[in-house]
Amino acid sequence: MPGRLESFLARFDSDTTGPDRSKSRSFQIIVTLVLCGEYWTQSLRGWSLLGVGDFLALAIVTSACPAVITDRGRRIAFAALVGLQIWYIWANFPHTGNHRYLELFFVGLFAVLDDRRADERRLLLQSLRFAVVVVLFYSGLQKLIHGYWFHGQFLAWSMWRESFDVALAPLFSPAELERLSGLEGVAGDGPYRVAGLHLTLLSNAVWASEMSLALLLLVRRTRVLAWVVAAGLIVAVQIVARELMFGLEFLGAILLFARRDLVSRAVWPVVAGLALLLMMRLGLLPEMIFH
Amino acid sequence: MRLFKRRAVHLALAAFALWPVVQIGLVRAYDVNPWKLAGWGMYAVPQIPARVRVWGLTAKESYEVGSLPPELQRSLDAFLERRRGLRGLARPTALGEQMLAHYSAIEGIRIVVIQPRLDPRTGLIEERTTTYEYRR
Repeated sequence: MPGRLESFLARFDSDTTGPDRSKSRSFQIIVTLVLCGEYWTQSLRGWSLLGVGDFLALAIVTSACPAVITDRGRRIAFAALVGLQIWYIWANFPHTGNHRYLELFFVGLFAVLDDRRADERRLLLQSLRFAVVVVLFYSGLQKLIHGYWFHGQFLAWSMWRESFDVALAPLFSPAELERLSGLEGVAGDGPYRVAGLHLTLLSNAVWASEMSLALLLLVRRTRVLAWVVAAGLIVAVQIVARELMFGLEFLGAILLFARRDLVSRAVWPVVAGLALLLMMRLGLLPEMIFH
Repeated sequence: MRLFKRRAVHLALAAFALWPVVQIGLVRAYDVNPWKLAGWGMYAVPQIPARVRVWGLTAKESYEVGSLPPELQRSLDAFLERRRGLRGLARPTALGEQMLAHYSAIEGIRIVVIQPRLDPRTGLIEERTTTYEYRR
């Protein structure tokens, strides 16, 4: 069994190992910065309600940033972030967002595996890419088995959300928009289904693409196309869903599939994005709802 | 790399890949919220909050409890919060016991959880109720 698992994980090896160390470090920086941004933007939303634990969390996540960036106490910082994420998940259970579990998985790998060693760096990158495939696949599978995307039921239902309405309203006919806006979400209301073929196709394309991209990422021949389309899918989804923290991290993880070191190039855009979100929370920019 | 470390990471990867199957099972068996518990089911199902109605039970009759005192309202809110994630795995036992302690004249408490759900086949909203009774 161990041999088979290692053979399977070899599918996730880099096409070229030259930029591996840079990719690994850059992704660690991205995850740490996003974690920092996440805790700060959440805290700024309810500053007067913060307790000792919250301030300790801010101290840990903030001090982790220079440790990871400078590589002085990097793995110790990740060990602290493991503890922090476990605390956050427990304190907020069962409402913890799934991306928190993914973050725990990432920082756990960063703490355990020393990417200065070639064999551990290899396993680290294999594991990170494996996580992308798992999340994509199950995200599509869950939509398939629950059945709310075959006739656009989820999209029709979600039009009450501002982000969905802004992004998707142009795709609905005026009559259908009027019909959906007249529904109140009470027993007997509906039907929450889309009428147009284009919307039905779009709705089914979401789950189908998630599952197929996960499988295409496994095959070297289709990997380039798969990661490019997956990156586009994540950007498109986040424009609607605005799960921006998850989106930044997952997009960074998808870029690990690229032959060139696009992850390092993504660091500064991530910094800029996080800065914008912080400025929104501080009231320096118009507020936009994001998660 | 030490063999132990390699095996530990392999175990973590296997758990990461297989846990969503367990979560899907919990969803099917206990109606757990597909959005939660690391099953990667975000945006799979419309989320509609549940509501609760409470009745006090005596030997002869039952009467619906209207407004609750602050501490019981907090317990009710906490139960609804847990219910939002765990659905069928979250039971209002603590709330029921607190209410029995607070309302000394009643023999029992009936808590009815009303969970709206979008039927994927019809696209219509239906309601499912789950009733819990707690007696002295």
